Amino acid sequence: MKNHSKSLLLVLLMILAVVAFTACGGVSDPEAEPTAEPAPTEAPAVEEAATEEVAVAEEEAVVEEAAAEEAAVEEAVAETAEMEAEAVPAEEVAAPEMAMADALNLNIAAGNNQRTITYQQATPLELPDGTVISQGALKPTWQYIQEQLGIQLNDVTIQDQSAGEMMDVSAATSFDNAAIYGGNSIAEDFMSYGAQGYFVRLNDHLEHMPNFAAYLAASPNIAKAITAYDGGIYFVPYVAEIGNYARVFDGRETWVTALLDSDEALEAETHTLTPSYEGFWDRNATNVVDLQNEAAGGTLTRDVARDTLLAYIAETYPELENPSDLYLGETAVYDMDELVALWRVIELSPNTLSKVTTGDVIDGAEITPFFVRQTSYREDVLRLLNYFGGQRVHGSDSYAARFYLDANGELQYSYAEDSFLAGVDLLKDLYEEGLIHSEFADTSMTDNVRNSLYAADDSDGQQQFGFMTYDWIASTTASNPDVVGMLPPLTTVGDSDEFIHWTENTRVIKPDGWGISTAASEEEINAALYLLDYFFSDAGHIVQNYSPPYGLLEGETYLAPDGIEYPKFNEWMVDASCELKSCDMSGFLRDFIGSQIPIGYQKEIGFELQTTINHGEEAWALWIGAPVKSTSYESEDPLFRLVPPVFSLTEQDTAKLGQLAVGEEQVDQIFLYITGAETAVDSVEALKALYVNAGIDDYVDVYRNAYARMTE
Amino acid sequence: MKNYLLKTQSLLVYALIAVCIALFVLYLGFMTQYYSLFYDGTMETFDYYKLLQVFNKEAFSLSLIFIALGLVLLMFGLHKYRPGLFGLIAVFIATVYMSLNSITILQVLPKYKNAYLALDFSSMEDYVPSTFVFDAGLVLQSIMIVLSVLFAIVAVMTFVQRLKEGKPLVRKLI
Repeated sequence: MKNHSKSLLLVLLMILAVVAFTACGGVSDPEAEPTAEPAPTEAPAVEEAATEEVAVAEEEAVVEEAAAEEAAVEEAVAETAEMEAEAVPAEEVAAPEMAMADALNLNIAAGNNQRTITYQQATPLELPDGTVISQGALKPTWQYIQEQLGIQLNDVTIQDQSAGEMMDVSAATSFDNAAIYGGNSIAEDFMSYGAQGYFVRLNDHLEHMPNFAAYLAASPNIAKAITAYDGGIYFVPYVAEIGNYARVFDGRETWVTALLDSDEALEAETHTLTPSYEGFWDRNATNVVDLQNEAAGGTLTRDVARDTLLAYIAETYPELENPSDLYLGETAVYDMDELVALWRVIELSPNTLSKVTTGDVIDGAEITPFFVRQTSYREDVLRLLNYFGGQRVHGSDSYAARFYLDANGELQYSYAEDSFLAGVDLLKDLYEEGLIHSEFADTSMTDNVRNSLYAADDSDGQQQFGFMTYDWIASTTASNPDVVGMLPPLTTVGDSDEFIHWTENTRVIKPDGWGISTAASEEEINAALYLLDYFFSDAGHIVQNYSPPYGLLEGETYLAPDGIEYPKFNEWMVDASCELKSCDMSGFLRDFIGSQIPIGYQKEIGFELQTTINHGEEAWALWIGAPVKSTSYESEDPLFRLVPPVFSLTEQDTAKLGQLAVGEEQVDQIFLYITGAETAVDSVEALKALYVNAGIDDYVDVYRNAYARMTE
Repeated sequence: MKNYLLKTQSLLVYALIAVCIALFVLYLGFMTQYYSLFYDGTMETFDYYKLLQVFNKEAFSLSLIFIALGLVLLMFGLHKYRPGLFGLIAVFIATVYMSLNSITILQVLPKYKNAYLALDFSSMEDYVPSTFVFDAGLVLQSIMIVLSVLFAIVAVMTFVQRLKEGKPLVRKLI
């Protein structure tokens, strides 16, 4: 028995030892030493990231890290300044002395297979040297770059995938199927995933990107705008032609002159409308909309609307030589109410205007006073609110940029503001009167409305005609020789009583671009850095903005009205763009040549200026000459200052936003409300309630904090 | 004496299981008190929240194992019978595991509590700091250690008592 007990005790002790060993280290000690940071090429798992955070729990460490992060943004900018001194001259694009991969996989999504780097046209393109580009091959620009850099470029993009979707899907596999990811409206993803370690921190590699480093050093605003909260720059942005106007108001010149300056062109009209809109401004002795409404007696006819408008112009603007001068050219001084009065006359004149346009009165002709190019541009209708007292709509050139800076420099979410929603009620009135295109908000309709309302006047059976839009100068004026640029309606902005011509929409740093996955090999990362930098070299800049050399005139330049010389397209390019893309050079470059794809580069206005036709140059001159006040990154008045293209959100911010429901649902409801859909809410108060219930206050707080971090 | 020891053993089994369940519930709702640190606080409180979340995840996993060990004790019938050899081994495994892990938790919980109290809550409107779950954890883990030790001693005594009565070393399946 005694031996038995001894054996038993031994067994128990052994078991005890084993259990004790396995029981050790059951929970984490908050004061444990920090774990080593993962290698850049290892995409960290969420738990790993959490574990790293554990290590900084000690108060001092937290304080130190916070201070480091604050300094990091400044460092990022400063680093670029240091790089300027070391930067290799931009012309040098010779391969750097570092191990580089022979091939790179690129995943560049645009949600449109025409806009990827792969040629997707059914019609092959024959280049000047006889090379034929067929469907499925890399577009010419990318083949040229491939040859220049000696790196094979493989397009692994799912051709129709949107960039946002591409990022979501790629994140699930830690961005391991390509070395470079790019596309439109994904800057926030780059910053967020970059800070988590999925994208290469470019500030650490600027010695391999001398041209980009020099660019950032010369553009501190851009460097700041693309720096994430941790001080890292994780993508190279697409920067539009900053300092130039973007969209402008365009309208048919002869429609205004034919209706207002004489009776000669007038045809009998039977069309009527029931006034809903009641006028906004009281800057003159009388309000023309009030006058029209009173004269209408419930039903407005063309003659009543026109006579009232002409009488009003004669009384209010006796100095004008012609009534149309109120709207056209540099004499334009109309406000939104006066524009609505004109739209009414236009809406009520289908017979007259169809004859003015085609030479014959067209039975059943439909006139649309205001339209946007396509339903995905429906927010351009909301931009009209700029002219109802200067209400801000978008803080940057993106429909998703719904934050703007108020006069105090505080970030505001425009779409949920009471003043904005009150303006929505006014747009609803305009829509009810038929002054805005009936299908402008129907996103199931994907047609290019500008084509049918501007560019199809001579088509057989054409019955639809549009008067005015808010769009880009070159392509819009090219679509119809009668279309001219119009100054924007006069409005006050902010607390000022001064009426000015202004536009909130301008060219900006876009939330588009590309970055390098940390899952790529070191050789691939080196090659990718080389490729990204190439677009900031002189050669890469020209190729991406214009075309490979065979599309340009050698030794000749285009002298722009502003005195700047730009590379000049040769005849082959101009002819090909007209043959294959209706003289839309921008579309031709993107869809056929492969230049101007929204990846990281500085866009230049030269291509647009030299391909502007019809009244396009006059439109430029009109806006520049006025001048139309616009927004900028440098404006001292916050109300005219652009917000960054994207806000760098921390994990905490993202988590907070995940608890909120502010998004496209409320935007959809705004458009449903304007168009009077059955599924719409019944008042702007209900629209406001949607935002409040979705957590708009917390949503705004998150972005205000993010903006504060970026501007500290 | 025999009945008294067995009754004590039985009570200790139930008490241990009750504490295991209490710990399970505690760690299940451990973070509820601190969601505000995540959503409403500063980066510092956010970092602390993530730190605490890791601890909570580990402590919750342990509480599940505690419950499983408690069920093992029930399976061996230790709430009704004196242990045989295998029952005693189960007792040792359970009590050693519970007490050693409880000691670990008792060592780190005060650190988490102190780190929590060192946070700056001034930016969080209407937030009332509370250390209840830390204190509850400290109390329950302490009780678990005491109960485990007592249970192991009593189990040994009942095991020896049983052997002295000439009962076989191995008691059927237990």
